[in-house]
Amino acid sequence: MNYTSKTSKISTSIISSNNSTRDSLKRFGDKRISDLLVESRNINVHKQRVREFIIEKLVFIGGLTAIVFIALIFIFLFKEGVRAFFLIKPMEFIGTHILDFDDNRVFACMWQPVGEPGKFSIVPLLIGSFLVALPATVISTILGVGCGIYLAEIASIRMREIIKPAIELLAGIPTVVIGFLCLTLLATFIQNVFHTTFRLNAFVGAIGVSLVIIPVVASITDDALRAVPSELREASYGLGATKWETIWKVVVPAGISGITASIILGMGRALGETMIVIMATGNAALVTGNIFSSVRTMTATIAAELGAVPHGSSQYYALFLIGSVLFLITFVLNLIAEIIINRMRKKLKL
Amino acid sequence: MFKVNLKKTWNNFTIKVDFEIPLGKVTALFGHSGAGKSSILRIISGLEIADEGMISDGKELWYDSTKQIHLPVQRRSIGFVFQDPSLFPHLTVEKNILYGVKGKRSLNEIKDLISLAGLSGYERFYPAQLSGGQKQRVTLIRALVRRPDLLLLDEPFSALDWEARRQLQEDLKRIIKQLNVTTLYVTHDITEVYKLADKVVVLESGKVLRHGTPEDIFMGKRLSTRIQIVGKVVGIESDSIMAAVTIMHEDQYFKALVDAEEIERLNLVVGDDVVIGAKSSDVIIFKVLTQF
Amino acid sequence: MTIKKRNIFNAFFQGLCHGMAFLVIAVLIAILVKIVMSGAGVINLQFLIKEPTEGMTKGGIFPAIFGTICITMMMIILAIPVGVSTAIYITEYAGKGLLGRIIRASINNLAGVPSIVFGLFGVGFFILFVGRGIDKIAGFELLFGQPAMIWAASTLALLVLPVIIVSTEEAMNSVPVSLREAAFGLGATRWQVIRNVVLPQARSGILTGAILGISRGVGETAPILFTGCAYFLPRLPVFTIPYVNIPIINPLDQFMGLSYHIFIMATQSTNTAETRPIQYGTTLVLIALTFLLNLSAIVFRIYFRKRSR
Repeated sequence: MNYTSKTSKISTSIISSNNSTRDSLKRFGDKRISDLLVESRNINVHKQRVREFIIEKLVFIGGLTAIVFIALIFIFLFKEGVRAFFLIKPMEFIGTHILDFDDNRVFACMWQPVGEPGKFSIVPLLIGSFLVALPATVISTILGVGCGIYLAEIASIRMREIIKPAIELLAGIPTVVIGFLCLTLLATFIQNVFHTTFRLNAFVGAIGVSLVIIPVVASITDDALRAVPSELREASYGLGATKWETIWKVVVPAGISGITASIILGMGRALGETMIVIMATGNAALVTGNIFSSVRTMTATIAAELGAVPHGSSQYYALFLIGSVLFLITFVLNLIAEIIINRMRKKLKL
Repeated sequence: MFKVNLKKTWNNFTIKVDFEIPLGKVTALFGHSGAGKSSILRIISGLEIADEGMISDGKELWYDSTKQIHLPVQRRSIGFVFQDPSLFPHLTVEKNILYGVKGKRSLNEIKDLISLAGLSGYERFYPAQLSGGQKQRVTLIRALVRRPDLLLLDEPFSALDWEARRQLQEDLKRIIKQLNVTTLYVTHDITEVYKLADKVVVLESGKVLRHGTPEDIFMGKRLSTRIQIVGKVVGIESDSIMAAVTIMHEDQYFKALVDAEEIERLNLVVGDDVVIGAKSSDVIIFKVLTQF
Repeated sequence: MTIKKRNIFNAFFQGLCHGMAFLVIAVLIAILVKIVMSGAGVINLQFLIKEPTEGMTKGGIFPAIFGTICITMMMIILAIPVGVSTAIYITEYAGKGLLGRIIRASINNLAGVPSIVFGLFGVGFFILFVGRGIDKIAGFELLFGQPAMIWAASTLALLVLPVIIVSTEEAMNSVPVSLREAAFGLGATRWQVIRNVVLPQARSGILTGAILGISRGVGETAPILFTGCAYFLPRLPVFTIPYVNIPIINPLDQFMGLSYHIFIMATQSTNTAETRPIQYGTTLVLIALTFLLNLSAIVFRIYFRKRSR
């Protein structure tokens, strides 16, 4: 549709249907559209055109903010992050040689920026982030998809009206509150059950993070499954399948792209989660594969150290570099999820 | 013999029907849009439940409101093909067809069915790669591979173009005859009734108006005429003596000149389904002179 | 597989899904119950009105409540104009073209940025670039270039922007095309149509989006960690205009906030065990605030839907 914004003549050719005519007589408050517009047409037409032009430009500028700020985030993160490479040798971001307790020269990956000399390996932080994010993604995939299937296929209408808002309520709980409860209650519980060495560890953090991601996965899975046309289900029943067989062999495969996208989005959120991990994972930058060990994630590192770091020091730039890496990872994950969702939308139009 | 006796009420609309479906034959459920045909089909399939009544396949009760019996869809020996294609998009043609049957025993059997439906060579294709007509063929075979006692069809070809539709109607007739499947075919197109049905049940506002063979429906006249065109009246122009009736048969138009009295006698209006016949003594053939 | 076996599987797996849903709800209820039980004992009028005393072990959390409300108000004042104009631009002007798609992609990516990255950006851009830039140009020593409410509010506004944009866009799209066509047919300019026809109908969606944005902003901690929130401040972030004695909020001041308060008190304060009840109490206040906001968003949505019928 091509609207000319400069015309003020009545052009009856644009009124195309009975609906339009009816709507034009619709009332807004005490006035009809026609009255409103007759009023405004009485103002000086030139002044109106200038005003229209200014407003359009303002809206345009406002509209660009999203692009501008994403670009700015890119720029400022990478600007400061790249400076880190001038002060720290790139190899050091993987590890350095140190002398261990027996005075042997070993290659270690340590994050100890205030050490003498400072060690800036990003490896323990990456490991920490993934040691929390991967289990969290697994847990929330199982529970989230299960909840999504329940909401879309199994729950009665009344149950759905209760449970769906309840799950959204879970999503609304501030992450600092969940982190707080992990710190005080969950950690003790896990320690009693699993007899962990470290009270605060990656596993506690993973459970806390999954509480935040489950609503995301459940909600998108629910949408994806409800979008599957009912003819497919009916056909499956007609061919003798039970309800679960229909769900598992027809509905879920038909909606698999939405489900996959939700899992990827969930993982992105898990990697970006800050408050829960900083309160629940113990904040020890260790290189380990043990899920019951304390770890330190990239997010927690930034959150813990940015406040105390001297501006302009190597550590300062290193933190921005970590932020850039984090931003890049979540950016790529979100992009993949979006591509999958777009492809799903196109396929549904077939 | 299937026995169907149903009553169901929605907001202002009630259907109350009582009819039989003879085994091994094609029964057409005919009526105009909104007469309730599709709902009846869905109730017979088990996807919806009537308020009261009884459905029986002659041996077993599928539904009986007085005895609180309602056999779920999965347990009825039915196959259905509805208007919208319902092929599973993530499965190949082969896998779609085999969905309802387990085990390899039917692999050869389906080969025969697949070629009967004209789908040989398309086994590995996905639904998105098929034409509308091919999709409905696959849906049909998928339903038939389970050897259902009752095949339910709800205007399965109305979404297709006329070429495909004619072809599929022929193929359907051939397949049903070969497999001897009891079929209930819902349609609002009188031509389809004429082509496919052994028995017609005419539905009007939710009630059975009349039932019988297609000939019984056509005003009981024995059609011993040479030319018969079945279709819907789309235009009537008449003066006091003659009338020109335009009828639409599938996608073609025919015009017939009849006495004006006939229009009045039959109470003919636009929208009526008619058969126009001409006796051999009245038929005149001209050759159009386009060549010399 | 026999039919019996298949039916058992059917019942089993459906029950499993039932169980998972109820497990999640049970966790939610457990969380709420625990917070209410452990925090209610601390809540009284004094708690909500007074300042913390004796090293945070006694007194109230009023400054944190005040700070959270202030920062959220500033955030929404910044976010709504930008968000609504973005939504107007993409629904009315840009549409399906390349620019529209880039903007939409940017919004989706903005929505996926981790909150701590917003915090980093707040420090690197707002405080160090914009703030220090203003200082340099205006010749101040160090006035704008340090953590302050205005920068924290800006950072939060950025985080909340996608929420506002999406709600507004949805609301504007629900205005039927025939209404717009009617207005154009009567000679309206594009902006007149937007202002007099579309926006009034979309008011409910904008309001809902604003409330949802506020409820998110209230709970976020990471963006305000370094951009202006503090654990203990001797006075509220207001200054009184001399002569007329009217107190107004000072956007260049630092502030206390509920979420930050919980975080520091639970992890870094000197006597975390002793102040545990206060931690639960503060958590309860924060949760109550969040839920009240979410509830009013739902109520407004229903109210406006009924009115437009």
